[in-house]
Amino acid sequence: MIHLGPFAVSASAAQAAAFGQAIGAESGSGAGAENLPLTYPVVWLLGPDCRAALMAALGGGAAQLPVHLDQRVQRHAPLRVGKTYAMALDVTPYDERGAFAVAAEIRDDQGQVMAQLSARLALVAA
Amino acid sequence: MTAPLAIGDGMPPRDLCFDQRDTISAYLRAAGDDNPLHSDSATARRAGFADVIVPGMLIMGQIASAVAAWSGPRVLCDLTARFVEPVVFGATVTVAGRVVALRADGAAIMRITAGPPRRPHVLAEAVIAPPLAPNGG
Repeated sequence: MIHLGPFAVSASAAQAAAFGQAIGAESGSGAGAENLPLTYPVVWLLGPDCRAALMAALGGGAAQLPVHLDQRVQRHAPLRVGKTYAMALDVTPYDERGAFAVAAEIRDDQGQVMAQLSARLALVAA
Repeated sequence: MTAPLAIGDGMPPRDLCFDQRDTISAYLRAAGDDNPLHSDSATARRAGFADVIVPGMLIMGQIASAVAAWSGPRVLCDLTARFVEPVVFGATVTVAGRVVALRADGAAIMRITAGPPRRPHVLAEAVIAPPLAPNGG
């Protein structure tokens, strides 16, 4: 298992609004405009910085691209727009074709786990 | 007061159309996702796909939005999606779901499918908690 991070992650109101609009807005998720959509943390997971660290850790490069096999997002408490969190990853290569599993925990500045992500991704040749 | 969900309660089918480049590119910009499998047909074809593939997280996000809209003031707190088959640009997938179990804490478990009829490309499961108390507790 490879440990990565923690990475400092946050989302501005404009970023959250653009994401919400792109996915059709989660208007009834128990979250208001001050809270991030449930699936927003995946943005942090697949963003260029985190993805680059993932690919470097896995020995991949620009010639390999990740494709989701599955994804789980658990929200234990609302993630707030404009607040910075710490996201740490555990990465586990799980088969010889380059697929890997990643588990992420997102904590607030008190160390409380706010959300968890888990995913399996395959790498395909570009 | 919001009525509790019951086993068998169903989310009406809802079509998600991925036949507009703008829909995908808006998501890619919002997500900061520069994976060319989602934006460049040549790269996608070299990788073995018929065309660019719709980001799984766009589909999952739209499923979350559909569930949240349907469930009203309840709280979608856990969503799992398994991508059985890639959704290729141009496709329309139908999202539908049904409550299959209730937990002791009052949360409902909903099974969801997304894809053409009888051939789901995405299998998902959502945990929908009762509405938060007015004081947020």
